[in-house]
Amino acid sequence: MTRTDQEQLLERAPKLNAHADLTAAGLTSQEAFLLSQVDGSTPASILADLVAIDERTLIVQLRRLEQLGLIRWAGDDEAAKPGSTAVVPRVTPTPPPGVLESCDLSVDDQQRILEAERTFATMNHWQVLGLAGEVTASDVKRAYFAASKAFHPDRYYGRNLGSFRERLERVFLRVKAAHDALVDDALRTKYRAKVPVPSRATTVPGVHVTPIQPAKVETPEEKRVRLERHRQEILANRRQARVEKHVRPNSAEAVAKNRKADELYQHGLGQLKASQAFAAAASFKIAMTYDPLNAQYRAAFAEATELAQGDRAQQLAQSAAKAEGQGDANAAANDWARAFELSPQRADYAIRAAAAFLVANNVDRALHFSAQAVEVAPNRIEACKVAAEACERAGDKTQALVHWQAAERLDPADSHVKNSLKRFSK
Amino acid sequence: MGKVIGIDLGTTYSCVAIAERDGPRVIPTRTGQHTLPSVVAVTESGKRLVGNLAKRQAITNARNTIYGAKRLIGRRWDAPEVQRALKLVSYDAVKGPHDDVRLMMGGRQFALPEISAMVLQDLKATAEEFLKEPVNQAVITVPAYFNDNQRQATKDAGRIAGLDVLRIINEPTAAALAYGFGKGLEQKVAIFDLGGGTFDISVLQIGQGVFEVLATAGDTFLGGEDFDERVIVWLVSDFNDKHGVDLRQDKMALQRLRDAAEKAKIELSSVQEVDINLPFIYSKAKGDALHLQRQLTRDKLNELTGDLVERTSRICSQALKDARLNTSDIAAVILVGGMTRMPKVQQAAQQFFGIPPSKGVHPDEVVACGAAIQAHLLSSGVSDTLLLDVTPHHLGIMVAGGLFDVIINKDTTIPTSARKIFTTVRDGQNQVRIMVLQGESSQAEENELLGEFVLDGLREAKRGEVKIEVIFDISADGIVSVSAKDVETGRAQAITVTASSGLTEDEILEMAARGGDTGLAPALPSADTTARLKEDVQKVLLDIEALLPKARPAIDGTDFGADALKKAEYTIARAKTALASNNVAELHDSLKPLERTLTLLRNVMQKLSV
Repeated sequence: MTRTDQEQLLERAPKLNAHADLTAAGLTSQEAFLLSQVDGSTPASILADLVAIDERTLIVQLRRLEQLGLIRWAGDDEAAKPGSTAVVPRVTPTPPPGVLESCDLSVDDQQRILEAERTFATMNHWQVLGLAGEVTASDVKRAYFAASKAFHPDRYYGRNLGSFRERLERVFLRVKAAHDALVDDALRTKYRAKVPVPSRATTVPGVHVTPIQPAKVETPEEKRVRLERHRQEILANRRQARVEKHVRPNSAEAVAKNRKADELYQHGLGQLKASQAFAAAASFKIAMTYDPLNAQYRAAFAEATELAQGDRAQQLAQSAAKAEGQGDANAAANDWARAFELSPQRADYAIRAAAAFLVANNVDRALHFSAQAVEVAPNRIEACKVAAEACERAGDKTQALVHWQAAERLDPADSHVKNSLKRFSK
Repeated sequence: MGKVIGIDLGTTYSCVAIAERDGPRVIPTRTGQHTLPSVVAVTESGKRLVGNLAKRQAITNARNTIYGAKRLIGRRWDAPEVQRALKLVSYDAVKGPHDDVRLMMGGRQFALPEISAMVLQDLKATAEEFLKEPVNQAVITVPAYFNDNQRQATKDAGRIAGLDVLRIINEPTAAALAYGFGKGLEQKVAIFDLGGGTFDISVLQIGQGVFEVLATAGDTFLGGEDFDERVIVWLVSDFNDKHGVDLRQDKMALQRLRDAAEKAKIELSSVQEVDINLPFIYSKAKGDALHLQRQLTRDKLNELTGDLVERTSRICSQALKDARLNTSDIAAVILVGGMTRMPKVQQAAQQFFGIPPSKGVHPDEVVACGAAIQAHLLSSGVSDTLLLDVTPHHLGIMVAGGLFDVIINKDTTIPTSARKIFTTVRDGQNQVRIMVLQGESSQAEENELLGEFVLDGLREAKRGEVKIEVIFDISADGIVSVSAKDVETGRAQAITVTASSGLTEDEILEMAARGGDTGLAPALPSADTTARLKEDVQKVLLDIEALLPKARPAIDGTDFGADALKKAEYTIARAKTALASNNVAELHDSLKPLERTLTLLRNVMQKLSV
């Protein structure tokens, strides 16, 4: 593979094949973990971050997953021509009726449409278009255009949509009804009197109401910023998912709708018990392709993912410690940093990362991780100490003093802290 | 999916384009022009001509040269527009078996879709030569005001020409797509489309890459040919006054008049006056020939056609009213169609909208480019541009008293769905007939009938007691389905309305199969002949494939080698596609080139062995 091939792949997002045959695949724990993080919209370069492996290894593993028929590349569906070498996804011969079926839609598209169909049913016109506050005709239009691009059947022209053809039409008709009722000033005023405008907008699944800018070439810097923002969003969603995990799934929804999916779920539970969190996460993810709205599967997936991330973080911590032993501060710092991103509740990883970055003379990164450490564990003296040192190195004396003082409050006897404060009072 | 082309199948000229990621481009015809005259003819020797060749011989072969087929396509024989149009053409027409129009050419009857298919086939071949690969799919444009029967007939023409028509889209919509594609516009635009045969006005809102049609209005009998007609009538009546001869009775004279009128009209867009000279236009007896000679000024032309131009303004204001907009809301006016080159027409558009029309789109090519863009959008799954098209006419059913009850209004974005409750009108009525209609008149009979069905087994009761729910659905592809349900018992009947082009399914298949020949050989390929044809193609293909590896080194070295090999490979690829798709016309078309290739290879081998 040439360098540019790899770069191109890194920009693209792998997609999960629905109903993939996981049991026959024989994945390593690392591959299983990677598979569990594939969602059809996250580019490979960010996946590398999420599972904390380097990009080369990532490409090799994704290639293998592709060969096993577990994933494909988003966009390949359109480009695939008869006779091309695209891997045909393995699907179970008879998909379960009424739930997910084998059609030419990605799992994420199917989920998005099902979600919209379900939520729109109980929403008012404002909510369907995600409108709030002072609504003008052009706001309605903008929201309608954005939703049309997400749900108009032409977006999937020529593909086998199965029951999703009708669903898509229903969803689009609902969006159109909302538009028709709100775009006209008189009608909108009348509707507002009946149904008040929400103060905060609901988010509509899969719809992004952003004005489309004429296509322009992205500079490398802009691209970096965009990818970083995307990464942060995903990490934020992960954190949110952790919180939501503890909400008990609605028992009515938790009923397994499909035998195969339930088998996978049970299999995953067994793997969890056997401390195979990576494999368990992958099992739950595939179960979700049968029944994306099943709250039980989702909760199990979130839990397994968290455990898997913890396991991976531990692996990274070990390798970081080893690197420190060999005097490679840079490698150690990076591994500590990745470990912390996977286990953001582990302040010790952040502290070690910050310390290692200080040794490696990377003050910016040190500042970032020490600040994170203080945020996660404000009562740990190591966090305050490393933060204070990072601030000093960065030349921010005021902030450094704040941290030293915090450290002093935690342990007035600490000689290092005392000495530093003495130095400051001079 | 192979490449999908966009075709503007015009009344007087047609155009084909292809769009890829970097935008659309017109595919030049074999003679290097960007448009193809929509003219077909059969010569005395039985040879079929399409485009420039057909147009050039129109005067000497007026009876067997067909132009303006688009004005008749999908219409019924009895329609007053049809009868009026047929009075002015130089070819003969007869009533077809399904109340449709059939045209006579070379002593044979042709259905209108068949005529259009000949033009489409020529464009298809042009595209294939240009793209060096077989093309089997297309998006074709029609005037926004075409009804479902006319659209279906156009689709059938595509099928007869061996094209799978992915979508029929409206010409003004296509023009808007081509105008706004990739520009990131946020504005409302008006498309003023005055072509050879029809006038359309569409108002669209463009934003975030979405093109939403707000309103559409038009007239299918208002176009360049009507302007020509005014000039012809002016020439003819003057001639009649002077010589007491009605030139319209003479087909050849009429064709000469038509050419001269069109030419004069076009010239008057750039000059103030032209001379029309038609020597020997009529001969009374031996040696007693009459000549036509007149001068036409731009002012006179404007006077003759003033009411036609005025009609465009009336239709524009209707469209704006439908869109609930004022002229001041329109940010750009885009002129489409050759007739918009006429200064008076440009003035009228500018006067109406209060802004000068946009420059920068080519009025003859913009529609084909838009069709190509939509073809690209549909076939490639691009998600940043979307066309929200509308249904062009009211749709509804006939109710008591012969009235038209509208269920889906015109200019409704598709896909859409609507329902309405009706009741029985007689005591003890146990069945209702649902007649699905399309049009603007409040009188049912003045609208187009799209289909009908009967819901029976109703509970016998007093009139007005039995409630029937009628549901109309239009899919994104524009396919209409209608169902009727007895609300109480749940008993239901439904149909998918397949608009009629005037041809049955069997006829279309038959014409498609015949598509490749001159249309004069009556041999219809049955399943038998298809199998034989396949066998033939396969046999030649095998021979070629056996010879090619041996001949290749010899050919490769010669001057013509690379080109010949490329051609041979294209021929083989095309034959293989034809075999795979079981397409009789394609099979038929690929046999000849295959045989030529084989002969070439054999010659080469012979020379090698000498």
